Amino acid sequence: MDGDSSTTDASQLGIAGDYISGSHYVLQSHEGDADEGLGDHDDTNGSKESYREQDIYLPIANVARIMKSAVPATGKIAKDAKECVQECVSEFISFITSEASERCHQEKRKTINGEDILFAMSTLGFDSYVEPLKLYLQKFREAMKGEKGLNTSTGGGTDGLGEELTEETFSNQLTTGLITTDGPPQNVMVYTTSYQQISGVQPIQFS
Amino acid sequence: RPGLQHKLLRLPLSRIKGLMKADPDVSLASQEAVFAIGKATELFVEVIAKDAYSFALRGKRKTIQRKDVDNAVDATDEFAFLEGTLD
Repeated sequence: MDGDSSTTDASQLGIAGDYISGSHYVLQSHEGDADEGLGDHDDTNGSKESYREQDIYLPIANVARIMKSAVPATGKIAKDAKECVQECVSEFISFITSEASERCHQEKRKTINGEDILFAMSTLGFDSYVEPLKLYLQKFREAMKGEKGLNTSTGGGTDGLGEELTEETFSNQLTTGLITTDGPPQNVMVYTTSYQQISGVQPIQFS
Repeated sequence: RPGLQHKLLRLPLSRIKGLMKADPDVSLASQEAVFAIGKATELFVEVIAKDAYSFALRGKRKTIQRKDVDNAVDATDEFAFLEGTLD
């Protein structure tokens, strides 16, 4: 991107700015959703030698929140249980990624896509996840379409399937500000909204 | 934040992508792939939490402890990949 030497290192994937798409979903950037207490954001990230806790685990606050949402309100979660699941999460991601990556290589492709993930889930015994994931992927694609609506598509297909949404692709889609590799890593929160009408957006009056 | 908004994903995409790329065999991943893994991870956490909670209840507790997570892992075939992690 802009003089960033690690442009091909996609460890920083961020979505800048607010964009109300007019469809049901908004994508919004969010910094530091987690309260892990790790203040330093930006020294030597992207370096292969960094083994900061934030690099090998997902934020414990997010993990804990999801756990809490899955059990009755009266249930509590001990700290070591949260940490344990946090570790399991990293293993899970590695496990699925590795399998998906293998399939990708076998088919002589360089980019892991959504289908590879679904296939890996099925192969590894998580086939019960596949149908729900397909639904969520659909919602995700709709959200992304809204973000990209202002630009002509760089590839051929607009069906979103197999489209390589790498950093390089997005660097050309400046007006949506969809992906940026500038600045500190940004946590991306993807929202849905059931608004049809966005308040504050006025139709243009030509007088 | 307006009350009608819901998060499509409750985990940070950037960090998920970072974890994926920690694998030396992984070169590129589409955003869909990152999202799919993220959502799968959410489902995974929910399942483990629920299972662990059942074990806590069996132990007459309302607080999920680490041993409940261990038991949840032991009890489920597809969680076998986690066996090494729990030591």
